[in-house]
Amino acid sequence: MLKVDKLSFAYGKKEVLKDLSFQLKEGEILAVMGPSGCGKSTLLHLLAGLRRGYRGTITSSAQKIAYAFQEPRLFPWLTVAENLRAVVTDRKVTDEEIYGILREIGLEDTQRLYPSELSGGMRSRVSLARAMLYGGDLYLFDEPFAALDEKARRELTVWLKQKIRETGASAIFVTHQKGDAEAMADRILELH
Amino acid sequence: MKHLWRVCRILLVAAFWIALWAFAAWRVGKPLLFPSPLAVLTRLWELAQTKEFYTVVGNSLWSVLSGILVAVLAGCILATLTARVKPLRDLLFPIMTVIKATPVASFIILALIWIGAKKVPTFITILIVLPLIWTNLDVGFSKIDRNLWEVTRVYKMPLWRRWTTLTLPSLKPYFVSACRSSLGLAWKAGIAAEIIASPRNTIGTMIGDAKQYILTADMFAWTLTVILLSLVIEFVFAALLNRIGKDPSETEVSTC
Repeated sequence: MLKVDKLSFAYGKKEVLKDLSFQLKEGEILAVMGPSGCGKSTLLHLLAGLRRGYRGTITSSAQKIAYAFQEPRLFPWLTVAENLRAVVTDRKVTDEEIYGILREIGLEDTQRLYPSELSGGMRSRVSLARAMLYGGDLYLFDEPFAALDEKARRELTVWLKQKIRETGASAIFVTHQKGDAEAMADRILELH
Repeated sequence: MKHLWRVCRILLVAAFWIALWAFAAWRVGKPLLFPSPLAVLTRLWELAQTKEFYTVVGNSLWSVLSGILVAVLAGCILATLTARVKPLRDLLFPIMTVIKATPVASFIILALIWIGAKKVPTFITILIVLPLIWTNLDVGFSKIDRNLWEVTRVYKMPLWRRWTTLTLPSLKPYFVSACRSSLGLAWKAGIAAEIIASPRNTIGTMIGDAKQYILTADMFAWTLTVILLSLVIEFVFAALLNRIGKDPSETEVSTC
C-alpha cells in the first residue's frame, strides 16, 4: 500500500525527517509517535502531497487519501452538514448518511450549527466524521483525539478503528498518547 | 419599540439639522446666496413635475451605474487573473496606485480631450471604482486561509467546488466592503465629471448651469437629488447583500 524509503525533509536548514523508511500494508493501522517537532505532522503532509522538496521516495498505491488535520479545519461559513457534504464530490450524500455518521459520533443535533457554535472537541469529531464520510484507501489522522476528554477518547478510538476495519483501508495515526496508539494501531513507529 | 425609537432618533437628528439650515438661511437673509430648506424643496418639487427632470436623472444614473457595473466586472476578472499570475499583479499594482493617487479632475480633463463629453462620467466612474475593487479583492485572495486551501487539495475538490466552498466565501467581505466604498465615491466622481464635462441632460450639467446663472436653489435641489439617489442605491445594495445572506463568521473588511 505504502512504502517510504530514506525520506528526509528540512524546513530551511532545520532537518525534521532524516532517512525515514517504513512500509504500510493493506488494511494496516500504523501509529506514529515521537516528541514534539520530530516531524510527525510533516510526515503526514508529505504523504498527503501537501509538501514538496523532500529527499527519498514515497511509493503509494492509494487512490483516495482522507486526512483529519491536527486542527479541525472546518469551513466557518458552512454548517456541520455542509462541511461534511463539501468534501464528497464523487457521489451524492444523502441526509440520512449525514445524520447517521453524526449520530455515531454523538453529534446528531449539530447538523445545522456552524463550527463557531461547537466546542473544540466537537469540531475535532466533525473533522473525523468528514474524513470517514469522504472515504479512502488511506486515512491520515494527526492527533485526532487531542481536544477530547478521556471518555470521548475511548469511545472514538473504538468507533474509528471499527470504521477503518470495515472499509479495509490503511491508516496512519499520529499521537502523543501511548494508550491511544496501543488501542488503535497494529504497529507503532517511533520517530526521534 | 426599539425600532420606533431608532426612527424617532433619526427624525430628531434630521429635524435639528434642517432647523439649523433654516436658521442660517434666515440669518444670511439672501435667498440668492443661501436658500432656505423650504425654497429648495419647493424648487425640487417644481423640477420633479417636469419630464426633463426624469430624463436628466435617468441619464446620470445610467452613466454612473453602467460605470460601476463595468468596473466591478473588470475588477473581479483582473483580481482573479492577478491572483494566479503574479507578474501580472506586479505589472498592475503601480498603475492602480497611480490611478488612486491622481486627482479626479486631472482624469476628467484628460478624458474630455480623449473621448468626448458624453462618455466622460462613465469612464471616470470606472477609473474610480476599478482600483478599489481590484485592491480589495487582491488582498482578499492573499488572505484566503492556507489551511482550508490544503483541505480542498487533500479532498481533491474540483475547481467549481473549491470556488464555491472556499474562494467566494473568503472574498465576500472584501468584495462587499469594496462595493460599499465604491458606491459613494462613484456618485461623487461621476457628478463631478458631469459638472466639468457638461454632457447634455445630466445632473452635473444642471448643477453647472445653475452655478453659471447663480440659481442657488436649483443647485441645492439637484444636489439634494444626488444625495437622495445615493441613499436609494445604497439601500438597494444593502437589501441585495441581505439576500445573499450573512454567515456567523463574516466580518466586513476594508483595505482602502
